[in-house]
Parts: sequence; structure tokens; C-alpha cells
Amino acid sequence: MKRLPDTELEVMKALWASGPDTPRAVLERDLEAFGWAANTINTYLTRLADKGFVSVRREGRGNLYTPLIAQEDYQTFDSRAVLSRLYGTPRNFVAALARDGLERRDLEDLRALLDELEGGARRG
Amino acid sequence: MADLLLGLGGLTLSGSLVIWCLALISRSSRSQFGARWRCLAWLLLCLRLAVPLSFFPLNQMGREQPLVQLPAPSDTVIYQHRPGPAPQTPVSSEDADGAGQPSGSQPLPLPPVEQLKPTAPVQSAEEDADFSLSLSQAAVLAWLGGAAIFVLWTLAAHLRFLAYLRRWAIPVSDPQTVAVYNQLGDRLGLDRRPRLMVCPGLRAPMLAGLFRPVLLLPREGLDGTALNYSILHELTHFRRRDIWLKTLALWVNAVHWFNPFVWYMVRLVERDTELACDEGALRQLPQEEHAAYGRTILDAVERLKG
Repeated sequence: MKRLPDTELEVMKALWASGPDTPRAVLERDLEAFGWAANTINTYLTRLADKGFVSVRREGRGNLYTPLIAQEDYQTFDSRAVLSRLYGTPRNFVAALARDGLERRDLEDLRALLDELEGGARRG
Repeated sequence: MADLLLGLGGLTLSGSLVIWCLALISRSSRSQFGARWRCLAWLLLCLRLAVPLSFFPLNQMGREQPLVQLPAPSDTVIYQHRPGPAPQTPVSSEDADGAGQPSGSQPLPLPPVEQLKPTAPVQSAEEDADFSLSLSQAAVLAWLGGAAIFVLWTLAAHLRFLAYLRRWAIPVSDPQTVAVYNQLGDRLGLDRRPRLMVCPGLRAPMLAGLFRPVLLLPREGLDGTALNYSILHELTHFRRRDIWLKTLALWVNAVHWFNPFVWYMVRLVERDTELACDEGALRQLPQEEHAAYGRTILDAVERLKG
């Protein structure tokens, strides 16, 4: 998979939202907010088709566009470098704990301790 | 050059001592000194360590008051460009140790003294000896280089993360989540609040951004009390301005990249900000909800471990 530029990603987002066999007119309406010329959208769609992200089907006078790669898959791909680094930097909720090698067994122990404390609090 | 190194060396050594003491205190009497106070101590320490300059310029004092003689170590020239079999500048180990090298364990990337075969055309040493590097100059260059790499690396990771947010994060539209968020913001008395966004790919909630902070929620896996406690935790971070302390600690890490104590300190800062944040969040909750809050934190740890 290749990383998409922001513009092509916006086209993909529109296609993911509208689903398979999106007519060209619908796509253009969804992308209206960006103010792109029809030619510009053509360029992006051609590039996306070349990269294997979109399939084009000719029907009647217009084209139908279908995303070939699921949003989940691309988003996972896009996040791989960013988020793995992120969990290694100290910006995160409890990342420090997770990094300090808290074992699954420790988690169970801590949960048991919480249950115990909670029971004690109720009795007391 | 040598003065700068002496200042930095003294600062990093005394800083190491304070880090070691604070780590010991937090280990031996965690209950007596709350994480909140340790965070304050880290803040003061980081503020001092962040500026690698001496507040009392030693060399100037020495010049103005000749009675105060400071034993400045002599600076050894360790490299001279001499493309001939000229006698090498002798570097005695005593001189090298005395030239402002703080820890002694710190390896210096010294450029190798050029050795050419005797068959090479012999030139007079004086002609090409215009480039020379003293030990302190080499050390300052190595220090600046390391700090620059650290800063650029951290900055690149942050910019990449911002680009990811720009592409994928969307404002939270779920009315229930927004209601919980507003309620908790009111309870904590926050006039300014971070934007609330949902970001696919995140495994646990987080707060990001110094100037325009944003509270990011993962797309799935949080509802009911877990959502409530997560937002409470992150808003407590926001109120405590923990991101500023962590950023300051990262800067200190960049300046003192050669000091393992400082790397350890950054981890302690991470730990203590989390603990102080939990202490603060628990103060907002009635006793009977404390265990449930703890479970939310443990669940988040588990999700992060994947």
C-alpha cells in the first residue's frame, strides 16, 4: 500500500462514505466543499485508480467508482508509524505504565486488589 | 568553550544527585509525599536543568577579582590536520580527563588522527595545520549535535502525529459524550477546555497539544462509566497542565542527552504526572467509585499493551 496525499485521501473518504458504484455526479457533490474543478477531481481519480485504490466502471454516459481498499485497512496502514512512535513518547494516558512492562498477571493482581479494597470499603 | 562545558558538567552532575535523591524519597515513602509534591519538585529541577548556563559566570568573576583563582584546566588540542608523518600532538590522558569532561564514561566521537603511509608526499606541517580542534571544542560539538538530533527526532514524531490527526480526527458528535464532557468540565471549573475529538487508531484516550490542546477519544471501546472516568482523567491532566511539564522534561532530556540519570528522570516524571493526575481525579469522586476508576485505568493499560 502507498501513502496517499491529503487531497487523494479526501476523495477516498468521500467514496468510503458513499459506498460502491458511486456515480460521478454524487462524488462531485460530496467534494463540493473543496472547490475542486472537474479536471482536478479527474486527476485524483486517475491516480487513485493507478494506485489500485479505486475501480472505475463505465455505465451509460458516466463512470461509477468503487473503493477497492477498506477505510479500516488504509487507516491502520496510515497510523502504523505514527501511533507506534506515539506510544513510545510520554504524551499518553498511562503509556508510562504500559511501557514499564506491567505483565498481564500484574494486571490481574491489581484487579483482584481493587476488588478486595472495594469489598473492605463496603463492609467498613 | 571550556567554561560552557564546566557549567554543563556541574549542572548535570548536581542534577543527577537531585534526581537520585528524589527517586530514593519516592521509593521509600511513597505515601508520605504525594505525587503532586514530587511533580512540583520535578518542575523546579527541570526549570534549573533546562538552561545549561551558569547564573554566576565563573570566568568573569575570576577576571574581575583576580584574588579568586579558579583552576581552569588547560585545553588540549586533540586534532590537527597534518597530512604528513609529522609527530602527532601528544594527548596525555591526564590532560584529557581534566578538560571539562563531566562524567568520564561519556564516549567522545573523536576524529581519528590521520595516519598516512610514509610513501605519501611529505609536506611541511605548518602549511596545513590551519584546522585544529581542541578537546573542549570537540565536546561542545558532540553535545550540540546530540541535542539537535534529539530535538529534531522528537519534533518529527510530533509533526507526523499532527498530520495524522489532521487527516483522521473528527469532532465528537455523539450528544451523550458531549453532555458527559460538558458536565465534567463544569465540575472541574474549567473556563477553557480542549476540543473534543475522536480519532480512529487510538487505543486509549489522550490529551495532546501545548497551545491548542485537544482531547482525543478512541473510536470504540469506551462507554458508560469508563468514558466518564477517562474524560475525568484527561481533563485533570489538562487542569494540571501536565503537558507543559512533560515538554519541559523532554527539553531537559535534549540538553542532557548524555546523562542516563536524566533519561531515568523523564520516566519518573511520566509516572508521577500520571499518579498525581489519578490522585486529583479520585478527589473528584466519592469513595465508592474509586475501585471502578482504578479498573478503567487498568483496562486502558491492557488495551495499550494490545
